[in-house]
Amino acid sequence: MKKGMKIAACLAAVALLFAGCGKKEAKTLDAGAFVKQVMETVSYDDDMVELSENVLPDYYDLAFDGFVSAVVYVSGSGATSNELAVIEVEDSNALSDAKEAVDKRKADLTANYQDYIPAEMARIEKAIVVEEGNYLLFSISESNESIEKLFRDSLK
Amino acid sequence: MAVKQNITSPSRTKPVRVKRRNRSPLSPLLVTVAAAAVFSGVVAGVWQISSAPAPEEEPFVLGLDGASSSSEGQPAPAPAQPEDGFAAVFVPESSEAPASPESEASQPQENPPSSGGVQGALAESPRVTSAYFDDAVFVGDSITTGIKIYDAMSNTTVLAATGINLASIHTKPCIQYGEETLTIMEALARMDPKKIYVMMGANGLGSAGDDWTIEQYGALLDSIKKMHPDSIIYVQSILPVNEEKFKAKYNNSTTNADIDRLNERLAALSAEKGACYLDLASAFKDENGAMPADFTPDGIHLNSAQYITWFDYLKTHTLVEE
Repeated sequence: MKKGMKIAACLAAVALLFAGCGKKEAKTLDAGAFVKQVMETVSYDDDMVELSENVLPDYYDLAFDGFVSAVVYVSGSGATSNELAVIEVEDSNALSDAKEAVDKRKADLTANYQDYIPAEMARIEKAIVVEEGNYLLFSISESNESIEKLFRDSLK
Repeated sequence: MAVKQNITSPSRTKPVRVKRRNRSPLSPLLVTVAAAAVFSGVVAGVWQISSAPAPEEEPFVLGLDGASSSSEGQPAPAPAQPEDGFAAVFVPESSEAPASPESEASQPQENPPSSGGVQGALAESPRVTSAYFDDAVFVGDSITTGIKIYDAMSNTTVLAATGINLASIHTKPCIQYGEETLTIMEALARMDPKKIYVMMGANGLGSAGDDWTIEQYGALLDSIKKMHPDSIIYVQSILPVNEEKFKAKYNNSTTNADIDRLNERLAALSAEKGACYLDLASAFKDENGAMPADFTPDGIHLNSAQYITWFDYLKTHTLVEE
């Protein structure tokens, strides 16, 4: 009996140990709210404009399997290379396609500004690409660190 | 009782003969001829590729940055042509229902009525509705891309890209057209616009020189006219700058007097080429003939509200059929 009680107690302990280990919920992000918070708290030296859905394909190639949504802000005037993009994908497999789209966009901006406004090259070269869960953040600004922190804090 | 097995290796009793192929005495010659033919083909291929016409090189660095400019007549090293560009075409899937415009456009006239301001500028006309721009294409640089970014006229077509100048409009692939990336002129050739609005020349202020600008603008208008002989071509003036902001941002000392002089030549060129000149600059000038500081973030580009002003001007300056 005592032996049986001991075995049962061990099994219970093991069961309790693994009770806290459930399937990890993927982090989610309210992209619209995040971007709005960025626009309110980060100071851009330009007028930032959200690209509408029908214009977005001219800037980012997002026609890949696993794409869910994107929120993109660009310089409205073209006077600077400031940009902010948050791309959501279905799963991590599609993240590489999202990264490819972002890399191409960065190459486009480089090609545009290198002769047009060479002073913008420094800003473009400091661009950040951050992958977290099923989200990818692309930011060109003077406040990339703050934006990245805000991005990570916004993921729940 | 174990059986002993005797394993003996086969012995070679006969000498090994190496069979030789019967060789034709012509083989070395044939091999040499074949090698020579292959080598000639490679050389010919390389020569073909290397003698393909190179894109026209820009004589100056045509950016806004005045520090990188070259004085007229002193060619600077041509900038490297970018391999990829900026996709900036917006072709509306559907346009507004074509409401009857208050006025209709006609074929280009040889002598469009003057506004009385800049010599040869199109006079004010009855206001048309936004539907007038359903079959229009806007060609230009980053200032023109704002039409799309700010959704200033969603029913029109914009062929524009950041950094485009009077040379790269022919050579820089920057318009996403299906699976292809085309130059602005290539994309324009695939369309059938009834009106073509052109605004060029800002990228080159203070660096390209007026003579070069007018020469290239003339060549551009010739190309467009040849491409679309029945379309109305509207040449929009170069916009004024806010000199203080422009100088601070780009180290560019171009003045509005410089721009006015260039625009006068542009108006004359437009008349010569059968295009309609639009004195759009007049819509943005303050009492000093300059762009107000609150109209522009950097002295040359426009804030969003100014695109309303832009189209307000265009709606009241169209070619009217007599």
